[in-house]
Amino acid sequence: MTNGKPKIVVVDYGVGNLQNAVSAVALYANVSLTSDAEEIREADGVVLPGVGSYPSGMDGLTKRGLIAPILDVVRRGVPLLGICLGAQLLLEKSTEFGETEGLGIISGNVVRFPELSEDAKIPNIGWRPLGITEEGKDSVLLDGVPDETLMFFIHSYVLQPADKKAVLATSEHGGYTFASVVRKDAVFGTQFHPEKSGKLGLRIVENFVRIVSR
Amino acid sequence: METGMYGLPLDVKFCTRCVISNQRPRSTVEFKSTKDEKKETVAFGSDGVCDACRYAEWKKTKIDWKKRENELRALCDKHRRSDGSYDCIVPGSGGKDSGFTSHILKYTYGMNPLTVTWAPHLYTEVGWKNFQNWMHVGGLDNILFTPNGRVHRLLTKLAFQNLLHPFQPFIIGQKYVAPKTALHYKVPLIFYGENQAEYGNKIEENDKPTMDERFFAQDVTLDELKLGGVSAAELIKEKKIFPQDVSPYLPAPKDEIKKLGVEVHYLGYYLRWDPQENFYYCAEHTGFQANSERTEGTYSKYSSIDDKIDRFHFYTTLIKFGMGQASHDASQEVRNGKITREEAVALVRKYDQEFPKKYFKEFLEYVDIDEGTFWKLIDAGRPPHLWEKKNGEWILKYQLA
Amino acid sequence: MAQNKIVRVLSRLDIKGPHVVKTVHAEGLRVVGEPRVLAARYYEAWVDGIIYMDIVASLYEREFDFEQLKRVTEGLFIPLTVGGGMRSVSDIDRALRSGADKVAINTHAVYNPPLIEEAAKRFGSQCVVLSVEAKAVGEERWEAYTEGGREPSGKDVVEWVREATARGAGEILLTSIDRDGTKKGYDIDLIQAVRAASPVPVIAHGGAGTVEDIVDAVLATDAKAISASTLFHYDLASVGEVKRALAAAGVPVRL
Repeated sequence: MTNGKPKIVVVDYGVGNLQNAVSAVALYANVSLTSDAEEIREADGVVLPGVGSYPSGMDGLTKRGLIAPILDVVRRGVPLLGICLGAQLLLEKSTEFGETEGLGIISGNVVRFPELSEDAKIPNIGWRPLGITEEGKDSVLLDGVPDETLMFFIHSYVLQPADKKAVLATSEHGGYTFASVVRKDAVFGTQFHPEKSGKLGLRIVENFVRIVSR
Repeated sequence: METGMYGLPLDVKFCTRCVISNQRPRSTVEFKSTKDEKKETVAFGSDGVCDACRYAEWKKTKIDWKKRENELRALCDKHRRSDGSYDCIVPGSGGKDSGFTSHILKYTYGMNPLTVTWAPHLYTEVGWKNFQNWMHVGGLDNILFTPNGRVHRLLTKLAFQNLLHPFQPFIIGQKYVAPKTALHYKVPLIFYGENQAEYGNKIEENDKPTMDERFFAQDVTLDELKLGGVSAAELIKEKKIFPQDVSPYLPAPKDEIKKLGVEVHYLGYYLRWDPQENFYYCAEHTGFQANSERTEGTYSKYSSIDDKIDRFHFYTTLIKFGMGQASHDASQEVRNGKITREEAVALVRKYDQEFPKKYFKEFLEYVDIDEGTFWKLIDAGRPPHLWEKKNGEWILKYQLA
Repeated sequence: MAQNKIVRVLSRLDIKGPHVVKTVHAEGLRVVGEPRVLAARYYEAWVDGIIYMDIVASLYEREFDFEQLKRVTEGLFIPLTVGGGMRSVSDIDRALRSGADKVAINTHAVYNPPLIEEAAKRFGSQCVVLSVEAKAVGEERWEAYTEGGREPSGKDVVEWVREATARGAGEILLTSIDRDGTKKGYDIDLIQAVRAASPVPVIAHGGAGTVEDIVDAVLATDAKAISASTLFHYDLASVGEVKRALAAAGVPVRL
């Protein structure tokens, strides 16, 4: 911690769209964008952003030797926030472009949206309301975020955690409900992009920083 | 000073601000044009800046446009008729420039213009549509003068063969249709859009609102009148045209012009002239539509789009002076602050030398020349100080940088 | 709840150098504002996304200015689609790293359709937007144009959309050249035809002159995303006014 603010790293593992994540965290904490294992190990909190395909995500982490440090910090109870692809990588595996193993931090899989109605196109792109669950209502992460708040989603694959209790919020597309916020201990995942969801999205980032500061 | 073909300077220089070169001729009294005449070219200052850019700079900073507009209002007040008769003549095609000029005079300055059009050789679809919309959407009255097609084609053919300047008869006819219409309707005030200095004439000529009379009123004999480089007298003698066919190409007689007190004013003297803004204005007010695709030889979609033959006008300027339509359009847009010189250079390099394939066949048919002869004439018209042949291909010796 | 049908209201910035410009029929370069100022204004007004397009990069054959993009979009926490002169996967990568969520490609997708697949494989379909500039060429037929609306591609818009989405494009940014800058309303037929042919979301653009134009287009086509330039840049209506009008017409929007 420096100047009263925690040090949070945003992991750069070669899958784009990091600027907003970094800027959002920078509003509340000392942030650095890194692919350095040591820096990750020493951080007070970790953000795993990500846009892209599952295999390229895991590939990116592997190539940079980041899987071990991430699992390490999680083991030590350091808070971690996965965003979009980053959230998906937290699960055990995905069926995007064949089967790929994930980090396995949260049990469950990542699968493609099933065939939906004419109206509901895939990818799911747009603002969708969060249906906050009982677990979600108590969570610090969603503090100050009203039920039905709209967040920005852009994905073709969904989180299917094995444990219902791991789901803090669900959302819906084409009549199909999926997990939009998941948690296991101090590890969180949002399918949507809080750094792209306006002021209330920033609230979630702020809440994460609060969790890191505890 | 030794000069090259067409009397052009041998030493090729490009303006440091826009992208024209010192090979660009100034406007001439077209009906005097002959094969061997030497062209007067646009002047460059010792700082490498061309007169047109210098004028554009001066226009931006030195002119009190409020004052100029008041002068326009005074001029309009003097001529305005409220008895329903026309009080000014606006020549043009219904493109962005004449569209702007005629519409603003009518709807902002309360004049009653009669627009007059010298028909394009061959209307394009978009040109015809814009011409119609000028009247139907813009709300203007128009007289369309279509010259005897057989004569016009013959003259265009001669102009191409003798001068490599197929547009010459068109330019002649178009220039005189307004003053002659003015005489016919007894309307002494004519408004053109822009002063040719916008395109590189002497700056001194720009500082007045009116066009010099010698450009539109002359007493000329049939011997003196050269059409396509041949005197009208000779054409008549050889029975190529009837005596009465000459009339559309004759300038207005001096004494009648004087008697009526005909004046040609440039709207661009009174209002800050910006062709691109004219486009926006016309898109809004006269139903003007840009072409769907860019014009061959340039990047623009709204400049000179009504005549299929127009491409060959610019193609011949490329051959004779090394500059095509892209150079023309880009230079203008640099002067008006729309694009930077760098961007202009990129556009000129990309499009200036593009051959206008689309209407090539129609052009050949129109001027009744076969393809072989076309290329022979073109190649014979390339000044050696501008072009050289490398690996069987003609390339410009001096490329814009 | 029909919240799933939230309609996104987007603003599009056509960029030339340091300016936002506004065309009519994809022609003209009239400057209408500064990118940062306009983008921030729309963000504060709760616009649902910004579309940032360099409309001369392909025409002038020059590089997209990524540094400017970063400067303009710093601190705007809403989705950003970026396009203009994107030639290769590495350009797209750079755009994503500079803050884009999605990258729009047109000219180079037409010249090199496998680029779509390459990009979708590398970044995911959700990042790849096909930008289509459509010009009517007959009854219910439109042709796709490239290079800033200057070159006819020979491709039928509906067929091209089918092909591009099969190759992996995840969204379509559909602009009507005929309506662009005219304030005459959207090309409803065009939007409907493309929506019917596209398995992915379609953003409708081109022609909005009033708030009613937007409401009419959304109601008539059921489009889930609608974008405007002239309407917002010339301050003919605000983002808020548009959203409130949509809400009043029964269309779910993010307020």
